[in-house]
Amino acid sequence: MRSKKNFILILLGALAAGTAVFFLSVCLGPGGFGIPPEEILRLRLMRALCGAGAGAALAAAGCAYQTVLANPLADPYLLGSSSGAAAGIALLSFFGVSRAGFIYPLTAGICSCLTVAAVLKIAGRSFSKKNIILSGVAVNLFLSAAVIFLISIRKKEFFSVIYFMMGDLGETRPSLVTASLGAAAAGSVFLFAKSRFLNALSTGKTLSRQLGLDYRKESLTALAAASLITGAAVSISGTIGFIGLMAPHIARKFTGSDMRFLMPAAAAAGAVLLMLSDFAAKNILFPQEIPVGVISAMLGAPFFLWIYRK
Amino acid sequence: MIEFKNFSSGYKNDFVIKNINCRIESGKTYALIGPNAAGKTTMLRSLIKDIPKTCGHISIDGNDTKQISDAELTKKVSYAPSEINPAFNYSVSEFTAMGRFAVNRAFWETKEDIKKIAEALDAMDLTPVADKAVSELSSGQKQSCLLAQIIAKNTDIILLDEPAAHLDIYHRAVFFRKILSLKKETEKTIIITFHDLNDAMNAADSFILLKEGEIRTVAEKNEITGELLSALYGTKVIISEFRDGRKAVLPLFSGGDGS
Amino acid sequence: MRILLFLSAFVLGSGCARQNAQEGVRIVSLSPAITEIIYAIGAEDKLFGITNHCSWPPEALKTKDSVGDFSFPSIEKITEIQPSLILAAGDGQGKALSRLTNLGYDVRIFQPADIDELFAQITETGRLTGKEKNAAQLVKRMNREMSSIPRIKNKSIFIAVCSKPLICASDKTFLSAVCKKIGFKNISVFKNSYPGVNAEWLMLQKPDYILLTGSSEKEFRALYPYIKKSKIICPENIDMIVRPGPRITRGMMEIYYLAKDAAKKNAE
Repeated sequence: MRSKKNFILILLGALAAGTAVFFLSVCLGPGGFGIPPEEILRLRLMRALCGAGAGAALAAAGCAYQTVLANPLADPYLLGSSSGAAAGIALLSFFGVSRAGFIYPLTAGICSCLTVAAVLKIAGRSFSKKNIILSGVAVNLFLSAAVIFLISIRKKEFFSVIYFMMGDLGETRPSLVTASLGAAAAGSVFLFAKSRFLNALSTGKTLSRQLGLDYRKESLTALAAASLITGAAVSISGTIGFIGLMAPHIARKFTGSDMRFLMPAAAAAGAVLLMLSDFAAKNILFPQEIPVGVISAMLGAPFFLWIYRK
Repeated sequence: MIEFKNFSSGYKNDFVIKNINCRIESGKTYALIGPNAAGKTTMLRSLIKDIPKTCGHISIDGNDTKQISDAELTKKVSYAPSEINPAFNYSVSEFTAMGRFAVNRAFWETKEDIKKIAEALDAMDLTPVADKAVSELSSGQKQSCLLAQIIAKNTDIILLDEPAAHLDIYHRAVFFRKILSLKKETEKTIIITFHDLNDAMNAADSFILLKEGEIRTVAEKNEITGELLSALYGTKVIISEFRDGRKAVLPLFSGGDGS
Repeated sequence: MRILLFLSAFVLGSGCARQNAQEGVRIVSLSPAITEIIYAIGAEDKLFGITNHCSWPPEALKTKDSVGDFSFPSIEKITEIQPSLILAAGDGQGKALSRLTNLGYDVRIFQPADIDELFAQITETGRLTGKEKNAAQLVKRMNREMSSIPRIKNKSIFIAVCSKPLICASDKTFLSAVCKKIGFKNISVFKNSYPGVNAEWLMLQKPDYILLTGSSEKEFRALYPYIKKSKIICPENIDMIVRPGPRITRGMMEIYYLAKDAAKKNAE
């Protein structure tokens, strides 16, 4: 068993890795390495912040989903949670609600909660691994179709929504970014504080009963928190797949499964992964941009198959 | 002391356990036996309130379990299922540590928690594999892990659901030896369900005979006869006694339809 | 070169043009710009189907049958109309057009790269509908209007068709050709027509003007507060600017005057 000393080491390591990549993605551009002029610096800082925040949030949510459902394939994207949030956001922008403050992350969070509830309901009681992923995929397809239907009515939003569904970290409005990152951080801290509850939940219904947990109540609380975090992340970054799948698995290699150690490491891994993906997305074809979700899916889908085969 | 009073429990439509009344004395080891689908597991899981539909009462030391909160109940009763398939690579020590979570839910374990965990690992001879993932262990070691978690919890009542179902003779002997020494040292009330009646005869003091959700008999070990068991299982069973007083139970496969 | 081809087709075809432009021409227009052209040359009696997006002139949507969406028109509805000719814009319609061609319809794509090609296509539309005279007059009028617009010199422009994500119209687009005609230099030189681009790059390029066709100035400024120096042109009526149709000269005029206004405002 790891001790508090390990915890500090893991925390420092995670922080160091996160900071290094953050620094890299701010300083390294097509113009070479160095501190860029102020205006570009601000732009890159904002973008790196969005990437780090959304990546960490998705990873934290992925950790919680995987542990609570005892399913190594669970991920905000595959569970339909992200698509639910995106549908909520598409609905808001359809009705012309302005993108500011808490309304976007909140609505997205609620929609993603509802989606996850629906997916689990469809998958049935057993929470079997493949059932959940299959019903997640079905709900995903349904929601994407619903979003396309919405933009068919009003063509104006077409580009924005299509890019949104593929992930886009170009968000620069401070009020939305602070609100979303604040909500995500609050949710993540809540889940982190409940680490030992999540550990116990991973043993399944009967064993967690004998450990004194109300399985239903605790697992629903954790899933709701994870969905709210996902909603907050999606409202600044759009739907980005597989970060929430990859980050916890990578972190587990270093820290083991105990959530107290896993969560901070996974959050750092998620932040690093998304910042690197975005770095690739904006620099491969500079000055053209590739949606960041394309890069993360190109990394993540083979990873998914690898986990699936294991 | 555990007392069932007019207790029934089950799932959606049916009661599996039907109106049972019985007393379970503290400090003794009980074997809960009966044919498949008799309701053995349901009866055990009723004690940790893991069965959705119930009627009647169970009391532990005079307190109705309905009045006891989950957090309190878990400090009195432990339950081990017959098999575990832990997700992810939780290590043996982390898995054992979860037992202490039932006692102390603070974010970090206290010094006492850490001591108790080390003792439990030691008692189950798991210290050498403490950092290995539970999912990589053999079935015997997985059972030991569960027991280590329960020892770390340190409850007065321990319920074991077919702990030896997947073990060979050697591991069975090792496992039950540990149970017996645990009982000797700590005066715990232990209820174990068995399919193998020889194991039951070896390990238990008393027997609860369960069939079709009803209790047929509660008897001491020496009161168990071949007739009782034959009636319980619906097939001829004989008990033979060795010179030193040990007993062996033998179900008859040929010419054993009572003739 | 393409103009020459068009012209030669016109000359060669003029012999049999009278037979071509019969009374029985039934046109389906799959592009708002083409609908505008047909109305502008007074050939609307040959027009039997339009798209939901054909908003100009206003009576078009009221009096003509719609075949549905620009990119996903209803093939059934088109079959019902039995057109002798389908005129389309090409971009973003590939799938529907190949299906219509396979069904044996005469599909022509009017996708002008610049104003001269647009004029050639107006003339061609006139020939197809038997309104050569009106078409020639329209071209003449547009030419006159265009020459009345003063030229802007040595100014660069960035055309944003979407603000978030940042998507531009590259030098391969009609919109870019229109701006070039006014005197602007498009900074977006790409292989794709409408690529997504990096905001950093836009900041480094420091274009003199940014033409917004998909969002308001307020929205753009809120999204990119660091792009301060570029003057913003945000026309009210986007259709007039993005549609290669008869109103494009007025659109050009609007771009010119908005640019002048923006420059004046900046100077103050």
